[in-house]
Amino acid sequence: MSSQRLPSGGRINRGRPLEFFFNGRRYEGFEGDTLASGLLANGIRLFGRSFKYHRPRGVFGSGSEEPNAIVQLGEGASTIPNLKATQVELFDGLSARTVVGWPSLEIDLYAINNRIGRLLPAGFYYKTFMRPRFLWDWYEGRIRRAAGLGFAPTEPDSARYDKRNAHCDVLVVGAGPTGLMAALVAGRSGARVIVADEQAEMGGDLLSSTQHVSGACPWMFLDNLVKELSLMDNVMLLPRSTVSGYYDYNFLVINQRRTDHQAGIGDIVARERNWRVRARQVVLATGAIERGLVFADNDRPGIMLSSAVRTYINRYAVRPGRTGAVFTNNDSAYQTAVEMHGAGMEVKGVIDVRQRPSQERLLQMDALGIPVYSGHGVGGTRSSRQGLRAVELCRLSADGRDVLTQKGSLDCQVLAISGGWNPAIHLHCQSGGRPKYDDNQACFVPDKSVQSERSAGSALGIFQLGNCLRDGIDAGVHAVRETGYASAHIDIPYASDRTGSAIEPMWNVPDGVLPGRGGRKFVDYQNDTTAADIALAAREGYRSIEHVKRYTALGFGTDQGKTGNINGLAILAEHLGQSIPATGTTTFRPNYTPVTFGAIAGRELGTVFFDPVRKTPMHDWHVAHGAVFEDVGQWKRPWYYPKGGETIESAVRRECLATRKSIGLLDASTLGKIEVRGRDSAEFLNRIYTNAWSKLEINRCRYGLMLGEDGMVMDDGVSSRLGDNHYYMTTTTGGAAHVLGWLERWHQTEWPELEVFFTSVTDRWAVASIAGPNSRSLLGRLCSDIDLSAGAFPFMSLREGSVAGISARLFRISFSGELAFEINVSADDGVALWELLMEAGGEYGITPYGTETMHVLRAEKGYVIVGQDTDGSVTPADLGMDWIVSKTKDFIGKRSLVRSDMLRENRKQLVGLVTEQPETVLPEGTQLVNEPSTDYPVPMTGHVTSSYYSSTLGHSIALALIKGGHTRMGASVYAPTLDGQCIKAIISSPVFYDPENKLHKT
Amino acid sequence: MTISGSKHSQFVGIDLDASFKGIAGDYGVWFNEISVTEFVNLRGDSSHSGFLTGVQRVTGVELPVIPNTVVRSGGLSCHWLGPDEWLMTVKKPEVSIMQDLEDSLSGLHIAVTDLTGGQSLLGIGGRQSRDVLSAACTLDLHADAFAQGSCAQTILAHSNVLITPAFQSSGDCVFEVLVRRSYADHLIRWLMDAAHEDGFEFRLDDNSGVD
Repeated sequence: MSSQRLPSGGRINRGRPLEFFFNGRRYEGFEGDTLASGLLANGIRLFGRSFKYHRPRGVFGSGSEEPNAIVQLGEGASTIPNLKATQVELFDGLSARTVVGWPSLEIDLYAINNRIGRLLPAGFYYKTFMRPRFLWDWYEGRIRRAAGLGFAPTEPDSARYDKRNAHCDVLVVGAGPTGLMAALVAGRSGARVIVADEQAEMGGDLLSSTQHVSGACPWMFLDNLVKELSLMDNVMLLPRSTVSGYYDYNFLVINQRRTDHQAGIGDIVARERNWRVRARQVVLATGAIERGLVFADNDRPGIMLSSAVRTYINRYAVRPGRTGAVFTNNDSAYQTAVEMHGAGMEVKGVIDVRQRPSQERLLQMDALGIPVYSGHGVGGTRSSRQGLRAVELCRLSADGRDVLTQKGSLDCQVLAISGGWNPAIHLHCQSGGRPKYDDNQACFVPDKSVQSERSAGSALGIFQLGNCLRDGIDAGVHAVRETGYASAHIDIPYASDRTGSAIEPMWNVPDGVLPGRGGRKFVDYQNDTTAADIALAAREGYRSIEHVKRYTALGFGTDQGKTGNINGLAILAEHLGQSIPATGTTTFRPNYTPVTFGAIAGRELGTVFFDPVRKTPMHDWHVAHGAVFEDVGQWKRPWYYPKGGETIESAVRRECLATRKSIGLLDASTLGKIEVRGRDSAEFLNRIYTNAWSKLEINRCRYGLMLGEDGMVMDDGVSSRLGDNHYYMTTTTGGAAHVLGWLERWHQTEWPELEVFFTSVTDRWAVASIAGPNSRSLLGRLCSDIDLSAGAFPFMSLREGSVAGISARLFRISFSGELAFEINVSADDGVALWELLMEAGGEYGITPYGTETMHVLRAEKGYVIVGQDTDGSVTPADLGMDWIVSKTKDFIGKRSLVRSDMLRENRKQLVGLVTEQPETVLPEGTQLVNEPSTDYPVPMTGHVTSSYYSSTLGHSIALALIKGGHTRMGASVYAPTLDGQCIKAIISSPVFYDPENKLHKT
Repeated sequence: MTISGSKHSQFVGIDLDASFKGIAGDYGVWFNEISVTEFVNLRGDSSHSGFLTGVQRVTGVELPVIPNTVVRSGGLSCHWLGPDEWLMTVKKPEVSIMQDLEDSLSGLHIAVTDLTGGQSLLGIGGRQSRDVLSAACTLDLHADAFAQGSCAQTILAHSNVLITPAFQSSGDCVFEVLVRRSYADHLIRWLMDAAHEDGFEFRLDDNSGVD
């Protein structure tokens, strides 16, 4: 393994050598290398094994198009699977492994698949492992071990991921010669510009080029260009940033990789950032991707894209082998022969399928002493352990379809191949544009723009440098004018482009042997899809390219078939006897290259930032006093306050009894609160609630039910009248936002003539609810300006005054069945009020309680919770709440209440349940049956909606929805449980505590 | 350290000493809580001349009727929220406009609602404030697009907010972010996390925004 590094040149920093590891072995490279160039420089040609046949593979490309050199980077939690070695920037200490090959890359036992490959055609798994079906799980495990690429880390990812939103006048995608010229025009014109390029360095093909621009070497031209752009305040340059998706309304997503190329940077910097860009104009200067040629055994390590060979020599100063040859159907690869020669490689020849290459090229090769085999093809290849050893020459017939004679072989380690160029039209197509087939250049080019975008340069099918530079300027001028800027003057750079002869499509190079006898002709290297697989698919009746893709896995790899897809569809077209445009391409979907899940998730993950956490003003008091919290909508509400290692059961028991016997204190700040103002407020409430509001007196409160148009209970709450045209509505905690939207919707769309305004004040008030027989006494100590007596301040009324000097609104409402006061103060005063209540309530043993105790207390009273005891299919009558439904006025949902199904007798109705064994608590959600029978299926008669142990009553209680329940008082039902028991329960009234409603009115 | 031990602070649970130096070795962003003595939500009919003059009588300013604009005058800001809705903030402890508005507009179809205590006003300044906000905000925050006198209702980190740029005489911009009280803690934690690599600190100087 001698060093293949050239003595000079390249865009590598020879002053900064780097140590790296591949499959456990140590190598050296330089800053500026990729893993691929670093390994090639060390004479490594074998990079991995193929997916299905486990054939030895080397590096094929030099960028994101790479199908073969797939590696697993790093270890542990930060390991990254399936990176392309051609994109992995070298850093000191980098460690990577190949992803296919067991037990090792050199000795891969699964390579047996290559020998028995005739038995593994396309669709093999579908065809073979269909029967018996129950064995599929076992087969799948075996197949996945044999196939598959890298592995995802199992530990949590400690890296940070970020997102940014950005707006610009012009987004330039791709910083090759075209894109940079477009950016320069736009930047000089004063437009806000973003330039995104997937590579570490800006420059695109200029980085691999030796062609002079305006008399200067390409790198000098490039460096000046990038420097000028980087100094412009209105231009943002994003290297290592792939525009991965182009969506509607010129919204594009850029995936920026920020830390993977640096070792030991720590976790301060986000590893990746997804830019969400709204661009007024987009210039797609995405370049073109070279495609390979499909010939027998075209996958040996050493067979590379011609452009990749050129890149390794010029950009990375790496000679990919000592001897080389070129195989092409177009002019561009001749330059690679020149570069190989310049790098000191022995160039054995240029094999050109065309009968008549251009005279200029022939003279150029002749001058270098490189033979040109025109009208020839490669009929096969031979390899050594380390890769390509020789290629076999064939003389082709004039139409290129047959082999006339075998012409011996050329010994070479490198074969630079070029089957032509595919403009990278992915983003154009994602934007809604169509591909159009260009017969002259044998490639798809962008058809009309659908959004505000323009493809430019090679992406448009312009393959000469000088023309690309000019087209970039044109695209930039177009973009700035469209966004309202005067375009700045710019000198057009000059590049001497060579003229030549046209490409001659060659989709399937003949090898002169009977079908099925020669070497495999790979179309998609990553998925080991061959020309024979595509032929088989066509024979088996597949017609659509989309189906053939899925059947043969063509283009399904992590490279998405960037080098092979067009060859594949052309081969299919040939077998189907139709044209390439008639066959069409597969759909171009985001993402252009793989994007990590972390980048997509960004900060929106885990329990911290996935959803907002809403906190009440008293939240930190609850935390300080050991509350366990429960999520109610986005709110954190205290669930219970365990003391000294209490279980939830004992804490709730203590909280319940304290409230029933003395005083409990509840943070009720989360309830939705809406101020309703205007002359027609009462009328509006009449239409929204099932009951009537016109006659509610000022300072009185009333409970209301809201129904949807379908007549089902939607929300409930107590609303109060504050003034002549002024009401104060409360909603459930979870329903607040929906109810406000509901009110606005009906007002704005149906009843705009009603003079009424709604304003949410949920956050404005802190609410402390004290409940229990001693609550009046406690309040009396803190409140001197309100007569708290039952006569002066009756149940369901409100008063304004002060509590311990804090201005407050007091409501006499109760959700517990006890004498209770809800004290509303400004949210700013919430903590102060709470602490004063706790202090003054000390001698009564005031006990803060959470939502669990609240649920028990209200269930003892038979009060429903909308959303727990109702599920969108429950009417007021089902709840036994006919009393709140007005017979005389109209309201939303009223018409639905007389539909036949609503009047059905065996509707599920709310009842209470008492278990036969008082200690047994029915599981919530349990289905109920009428007989403890085990003959399946057992008809279900209802389900448990709420269920608790009532310490006050000394037995368990439950609420349930049971068919015809209202007429079945005293009947037995059974609750089969998961562990095979059957709990017997008796249907009762849902009101278990104080059925005479005396206590809360005292 | 706590913010002036104020009972108004929304940042009770935040460690205000939790400043963090970013990769540049300094604080690219600072946060503060701007104290507002009164938040008033106003609903009314702007095509009714009595309404506009009635408001002007109390506040001294003309209500903005151009969408997404704010009018400021001497500690008072009126933000356009909708065709018939405005939010006013008063930053002078000695001034209260609630009752004056009720009186001045009596007889009209209006709603004057005191939201004091239910809202938080967060100031975000510093070299990288725009970048950090753009981690959450989909709007164009560039000074040309979001100029003095603009305001915008949008969503930051899943929370409804009203953002108002306040340009200083230096040309720097402090973004005033109004958020409902219950979301304030979530939002500030989210922004602290987003500011991680730029660095952030809390500042106590009040009313950094212009009036």
